Amino acid sequence: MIELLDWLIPTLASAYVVYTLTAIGSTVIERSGILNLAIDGLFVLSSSLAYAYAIYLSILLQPGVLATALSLLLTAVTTALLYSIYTALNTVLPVSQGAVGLSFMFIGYGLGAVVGNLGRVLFSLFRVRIEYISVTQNSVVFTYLLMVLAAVLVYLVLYKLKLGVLIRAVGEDPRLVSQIGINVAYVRFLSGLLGGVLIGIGGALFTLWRVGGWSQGQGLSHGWLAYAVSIAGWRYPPVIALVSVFFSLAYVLLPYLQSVGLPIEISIATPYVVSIVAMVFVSITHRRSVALLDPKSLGKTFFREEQA
Amino acid sequence: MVKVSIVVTKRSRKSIATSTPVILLLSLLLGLVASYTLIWTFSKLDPISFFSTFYQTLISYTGLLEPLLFLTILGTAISIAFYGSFWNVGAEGQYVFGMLGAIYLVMFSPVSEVFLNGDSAANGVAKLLAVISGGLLGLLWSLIPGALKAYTRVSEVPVMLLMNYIAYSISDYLTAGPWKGRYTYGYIRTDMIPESSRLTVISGLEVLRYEVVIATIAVFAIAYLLIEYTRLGLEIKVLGSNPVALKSSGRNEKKTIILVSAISGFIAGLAGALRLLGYDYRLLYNIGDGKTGFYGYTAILVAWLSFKDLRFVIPSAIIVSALSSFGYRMQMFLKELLPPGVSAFAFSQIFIGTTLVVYSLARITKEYSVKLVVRE
Repeated sequence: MIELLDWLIPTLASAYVVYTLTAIGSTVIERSGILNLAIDGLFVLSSSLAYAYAIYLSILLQPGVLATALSLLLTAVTTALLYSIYTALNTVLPVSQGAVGLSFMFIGYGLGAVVGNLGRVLFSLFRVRIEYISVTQNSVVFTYLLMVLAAVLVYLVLYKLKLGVLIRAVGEDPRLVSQIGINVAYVRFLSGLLGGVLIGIGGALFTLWRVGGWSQGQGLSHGWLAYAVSIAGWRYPPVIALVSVFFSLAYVLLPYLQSVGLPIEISIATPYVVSIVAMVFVSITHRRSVALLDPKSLGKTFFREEQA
Repeated sequence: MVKVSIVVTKRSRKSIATSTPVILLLSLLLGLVASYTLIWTFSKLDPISFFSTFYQTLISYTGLLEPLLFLTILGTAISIAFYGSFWNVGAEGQYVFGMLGAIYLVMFSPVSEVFLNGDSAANGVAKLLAVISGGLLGLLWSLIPGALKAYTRVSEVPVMLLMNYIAYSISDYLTAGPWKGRYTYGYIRTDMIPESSRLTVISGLEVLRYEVVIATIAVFAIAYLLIEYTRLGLEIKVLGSNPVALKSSGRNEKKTIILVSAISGFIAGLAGALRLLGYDYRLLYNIGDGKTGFYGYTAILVAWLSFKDLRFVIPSAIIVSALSSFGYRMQMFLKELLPPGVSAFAFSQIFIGTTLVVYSLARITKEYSVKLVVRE
């Protein structure tokens, strides 16, 4: 039992941090009215970027905490830039958000393979060892506290700051916001930056902490799992931080159901089943508060006729 | 100060420059240029090798025929769903379920005995049943997100993308468990289906099967008639463009969503069944590892490129077949110029993604005119 807990607590912490940050990031983007179908591709891309950056920086500086921390930062910045392009593009031009989202997903998968393999080539040339993140039993509590802090911070940004109010306003009625003279594309650009930073960190930690390595195709489908967490948490950071505990527990434990006799292939599928059931459950529950409802303009093409 | 702004206005007249064929070709060209730029950033790939290899892919038409047929069937399946705003991104899972339905009928159901007796007429009927059983399993798998969308309003897109992984798992479970073969040399896979249940190879064009060609033509023709000339087709179109009108005209919106998901899933299931009976002959383990050719995903691009106009499914399928074969051809002939270690499918994903994004941008010119305005 003690052995199980020794394994479970740090593993759960890494899963929890990855899915919570990614889900909250996706929330920021979708609250601004942009459908985040790019998530799985950009999650894969950021987890590959983190590996490539970490190898490169470990060669350049030397393997250690600094190289790992910098690669985390660079991944966050790169993902934020990509997401801000994504959200701005979807606003400036009257494109189909669904099609652009899926395009970014495919490009993310493909570029992720390219970037990660570049890291692998560097590795085979220089044979550096990345200092992966590991958390001891004693400090694991801090990671949970840190997540609560992150959720609270994003909550404050979205619900107490003017920027957050604007982000939610363009998610509800971009036309109205535009009419009072505020640049909708700029607000969404900022929401892409903020959400992208969080998703970038989530993807980077997936490689640098949760897995501790990289292989082609790594991270596939985990973006969607995080997306399900975001929806099941009503796209509301405090609730996400809460439900994410159960999701992470399910994602970490369910694949081990084989030890109690479930075939391995079926136990692998259980996290996906849990995600679908949770999304369905959430969509049939009655939500009284507007803050918990889906953004009204989510996924809708924004078109503002220029006044002559 | 100079101020640059993008001005988008509704277009009042249509022009040839923004007709679908022009936009398709333009997207293909610009998409290739964009993909080239992306790959070039990470490698020594020169433009001449890149574009001449694409040209080679296009003229090696025999290599394109097989993906073309499957992408046409799957593209039709997804297009019908798109007409009704049912964003069927789950064709991959329905395709896998089609394989399961076909192999079940051929090897594990009472019908399987027919194939051992050698009566060719009975064989033909049994093969047809196997294809239909594949279609029905695809239909059932698609009905789940359809019913969920109709009754709980949960978005079908994430549900179906997650369900694709579940479909892979179910197939792997059957392959490694109840359906595991006896004559597999230690590999985890099912036995081969009996020779008498396989589809007929066209002599002279060994990549083709008579039944697949006939099925493709039939599916496409029936789908076209359904959408353009039937009441159900009209209802599906109205569901996609104006669901409120559908409701207020007294039609049952939920029923239409469920019907469109069923039709789409049935066709995707047919494609899986044809694949198994005509090409794969067995189920392999780790099916999600590229063993489906990811046709269900690439066909999404076919449906987007021919958006709500079935006539363009076939030209789009040609473009997408070329793009997806291009990755493999590049990997084969340009290996030393490419970023190392990257799988052919990863390149195909880049081509598909960039073409789709360019197309989505180009398509807005059909309805809008976009101008850059510089003001002092």
